[in-house]
Amino acid sequence: MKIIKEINEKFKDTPDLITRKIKYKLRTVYIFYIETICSSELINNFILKNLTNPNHKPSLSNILATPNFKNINKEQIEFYLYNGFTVILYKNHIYALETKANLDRSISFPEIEQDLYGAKDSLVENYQKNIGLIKRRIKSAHLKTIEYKLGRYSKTATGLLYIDNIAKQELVKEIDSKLSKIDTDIIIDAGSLKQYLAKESKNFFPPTKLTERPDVIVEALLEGKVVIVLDTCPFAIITPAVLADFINPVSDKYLYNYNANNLKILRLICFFLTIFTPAFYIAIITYNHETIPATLLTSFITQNQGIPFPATIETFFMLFICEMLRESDIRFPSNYSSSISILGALILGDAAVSANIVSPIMIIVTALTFISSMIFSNVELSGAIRSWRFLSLIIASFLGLYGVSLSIIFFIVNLASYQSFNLPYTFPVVPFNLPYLKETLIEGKKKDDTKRSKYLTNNLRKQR
Amino acid sequence: MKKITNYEYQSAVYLLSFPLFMGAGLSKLIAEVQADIWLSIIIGTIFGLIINFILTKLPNKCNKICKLLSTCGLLFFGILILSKLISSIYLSNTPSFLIIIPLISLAIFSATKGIETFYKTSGILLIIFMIFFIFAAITLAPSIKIDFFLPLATSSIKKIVYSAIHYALISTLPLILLPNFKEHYKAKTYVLSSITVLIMAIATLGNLGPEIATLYRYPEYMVFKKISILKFIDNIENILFSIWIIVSCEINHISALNLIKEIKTKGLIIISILIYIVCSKFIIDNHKSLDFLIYNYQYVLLGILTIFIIGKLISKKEPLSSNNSSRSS
Amino acid sequence: MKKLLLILFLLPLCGCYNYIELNELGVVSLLAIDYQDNEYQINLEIRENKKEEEETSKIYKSTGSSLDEAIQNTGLSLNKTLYFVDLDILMLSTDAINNKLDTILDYLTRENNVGINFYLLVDDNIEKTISHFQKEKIIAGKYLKEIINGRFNNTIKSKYIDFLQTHLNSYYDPILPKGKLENDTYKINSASIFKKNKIIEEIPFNYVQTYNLLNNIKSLYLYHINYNNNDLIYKIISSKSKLKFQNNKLIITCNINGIFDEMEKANLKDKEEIKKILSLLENNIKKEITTYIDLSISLESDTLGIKKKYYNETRKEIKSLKNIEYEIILKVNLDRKGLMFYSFGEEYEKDN
Repeated sequence: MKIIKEINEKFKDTPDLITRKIKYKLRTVYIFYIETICSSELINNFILKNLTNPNHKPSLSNILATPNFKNINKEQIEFYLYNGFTVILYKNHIYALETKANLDRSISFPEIEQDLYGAKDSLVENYQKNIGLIKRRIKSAHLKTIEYKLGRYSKTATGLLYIDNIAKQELVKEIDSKLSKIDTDIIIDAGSLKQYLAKESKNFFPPTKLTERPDVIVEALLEGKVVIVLDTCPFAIITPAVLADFINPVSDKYLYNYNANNLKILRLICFFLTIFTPAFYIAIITYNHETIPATLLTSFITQNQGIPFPATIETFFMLFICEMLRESDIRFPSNYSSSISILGALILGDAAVSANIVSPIMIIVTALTFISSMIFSNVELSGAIRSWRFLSLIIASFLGLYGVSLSIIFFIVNLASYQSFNLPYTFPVVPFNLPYLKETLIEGKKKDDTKRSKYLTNNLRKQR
Repeated sequence: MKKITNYEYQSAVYLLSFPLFMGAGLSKLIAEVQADIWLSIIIGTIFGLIINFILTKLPNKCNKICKLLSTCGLLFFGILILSKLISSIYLSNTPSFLIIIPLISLAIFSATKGIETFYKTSGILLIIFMIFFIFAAITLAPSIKIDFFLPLATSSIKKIVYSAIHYALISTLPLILLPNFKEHYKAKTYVLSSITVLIMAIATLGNLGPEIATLYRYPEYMVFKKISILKFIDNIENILFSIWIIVSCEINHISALNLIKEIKTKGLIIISILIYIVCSKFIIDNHKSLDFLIYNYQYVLLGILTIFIIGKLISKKEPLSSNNSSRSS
Repeated sequence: MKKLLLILFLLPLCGCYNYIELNELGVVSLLAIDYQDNEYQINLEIRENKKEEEETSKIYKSTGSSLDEAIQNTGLSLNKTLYFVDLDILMLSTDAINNKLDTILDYLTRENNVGINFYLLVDDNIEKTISHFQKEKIIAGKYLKEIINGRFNNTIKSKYIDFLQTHLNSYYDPILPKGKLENDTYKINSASIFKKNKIIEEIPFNYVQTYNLLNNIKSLYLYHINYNNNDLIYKIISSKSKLKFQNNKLIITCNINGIFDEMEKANLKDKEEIKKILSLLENNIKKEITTYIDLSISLESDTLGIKKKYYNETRKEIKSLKNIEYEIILKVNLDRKGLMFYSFGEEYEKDN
């Protein structure tokens, strides 16, 4: 038949396309499937067994007992074959049946966003499973999905989720129009997809948040935000995202508010410490010595004796080594990780001090910076913090404390000029909004938690 | 949903009352009236409220040239005062023309970001200002000596009124730079900023004494040197004094914003280079001209205010004279 | 991005004019200035720190015809930049104060490199003092500062900024502590009083005690009385004193609370005896205060601020202290403060 010739021509060099002919009611049934994607067990049990059964039943659709049974036309054959469907040709009808193999890993612990409290399941590389994990937690018909197939060659299944009586329609339409205009070869990761969504800007901070935990996604949906879920990617995109979202994890909601508030203050202090501590240290060591208390000054001078490098070069050197350690920790396989940490400790620890290359106080400052930066696990945020840390260090090494003040003002102006989908980046602080502040930066009592933020939604009351 | 909230606007009004105080503010007031500075600040607030009331009654549009002149004057003062402060205190050996460069670049950079950025920045910087100010006030309060203020009211009335007018000019002049002043101005914020200055003046004079406060150029900085907590937290004057750097970056920001609206980025760069040359070559390292400028400060400020008011009144007359009213912003 | 790069490339122009490495700082802890034969003689004590050794210091001397020149001569023999912010003590001789006080104050106040929280000390024999401390291998500045600052030491604690204020004020006359070497130990138990910016007199320890008492300074005050051929010592625990002008008369009120040391020599259960002892004590303390005020009136040195009190009250200025009338109202009380109800072995409660 003509269709069979076309199929054979199109799939010329694909040896894993299997063709079978079966006689059924005096006609041949042609079966096509791609072996590597389909599950041969399912095909055996539900298709081949039933077709080769001597008890012939009236019509094909009554025999084949798979739930997903579609009538398709010629142009869709390639799409369905590559999505794990079996294509059956019978009597000039083309049918597609789902017989997908399970090529993903099972649901496991979140690797990047770890925490003590909260659910320990995370998204996987299967689109259906991801949506399933979310729909387990929101059991309402208001949760809507808009589906796309992105990329010419990859045709990745993408879903835009939102709750229709909470999220704003303008936001949904804007992201919808952006996603429909994407025309490229391949999109297989949320990381490359998120770069199509935002406007071009010269800011280091990210306007969207990537997460692999379903409870984070669910909390975001209920605030009025929009979530994009992707096939073959264990991360989902949450838009819009402001700076206050990155600093505190969602599992703070599972603690009593007094304990949670103490932890929040600690994280906020660490955020500013990790950016400005090296710059402040350099400024008071080299330019404005009168800021150092008298008792500390003599001990600094004692420790700095005999060190060949100036303090600025020392700081750059130590921070550079810390960044090297961090990168190598991610890339290298975990079997070697113990020897790497020993080497790092040797370089940064006793050996450098006793070889008189670095002073002990420098190591303490570096340790303070590094440890307070490990609180923030989001990769984009760490990158932004790193850039600002080096920038303020350079300015402080030429201008002293005056430079530190200027770099703080520069940082604030930069943050204030940035917007993430028409939401100002310094959102709950300025412009001040108490309900959203209570979600992110302060924890209030659960009884008083009755409103949503008016910047993200028009549906303000949480109760009836 | 409003674009600019009330909190942001009021924080801009609050922070803009301070920048012209550096250098010739408190020290000049103390030199005039010594221990009666509290009286002149209270009377000066009343004068300031009157000036603000007059400013709210003026029309919204302004003659282009007058606005340019007054904005350039304020930008010039903002940069001059801050660079003089930095080269006296923080970086004493660096030549001043190198200190002005980062200031001007920061002003131009922030001006390209738009007016909403300015309001948001002032909202955040107000929090930092308040933390430092309250900390300083609480640590300086126990060591105030009331003996320095007694007996009360010894200066002549003429001097008190004169210094009150000086205070009113310094604290209300930067407010001419804010657009839509009429709709958002509230008298409460101005009174709050006066109370802040009052607390600063009392803390300075009560700790240092009138003679030393007239001696130093920056008595607000010297008084921070006296803070000592637990015998360990001392020498924090450099950190606390950064509130003045914050406040003067604000005035540079808003002046540059006003200039960009009229003459675009290129014009702003040309004007800032002119100001830079005038400041660094002729004024800063030449003590005579600097002292002349600082001690006749109030006449220059009065001149800027009159130019501004004339500009507003002229533009009111233009639509009446011609039918096709050309847009003069 | 371009703007950022432009700013970053302009920064190195700032040239690091103010860049000083920590190794180059010479922290000065004592500055001693003497003025003789139209020449300044300066002694600088600079701290030296070595790893795993105790802190030591080194003394540098030089002379010059102006203060700047003398300090510059020191700098030429030293490989570090002088750093005066952590100065502990400024030691001046009487000659330096009487001839060149204004120049010294001008130099120290104008510099950005000098703090305001150091103490002042007068010493007439600077060379001897410094060689004494060098022999004992003590850091002189720190040691002297701890003596002056000691909580129970009855010295005049005069910081630089307070001294400057009283010096510039026309109503007050400053007073500075004075130290000297006695039998191989250094003691700070006297003071120098000023009149119109010059030192006129050195006053002994009991006057220093009276001055501190009248100025409400917390310290250790001890008064001796002789009762029944026994030497009793009275220790003040809390006191409050006030100077005020009323009806053209200076009224000094003083309320004192204290306890007796060596109390077994008196019978404290007898109320009559306590009254006698306390009246003796009152007379003693009154005599001390009277002699001090008579001294300041006769020398016309207004260390207590009597002229300012008069001005506060009447808004008129008086030119001299000679015709001032004063009255002292003194109340002395006995107090058995402390952690115990009864004394050890009931020494003080037994009947004599």
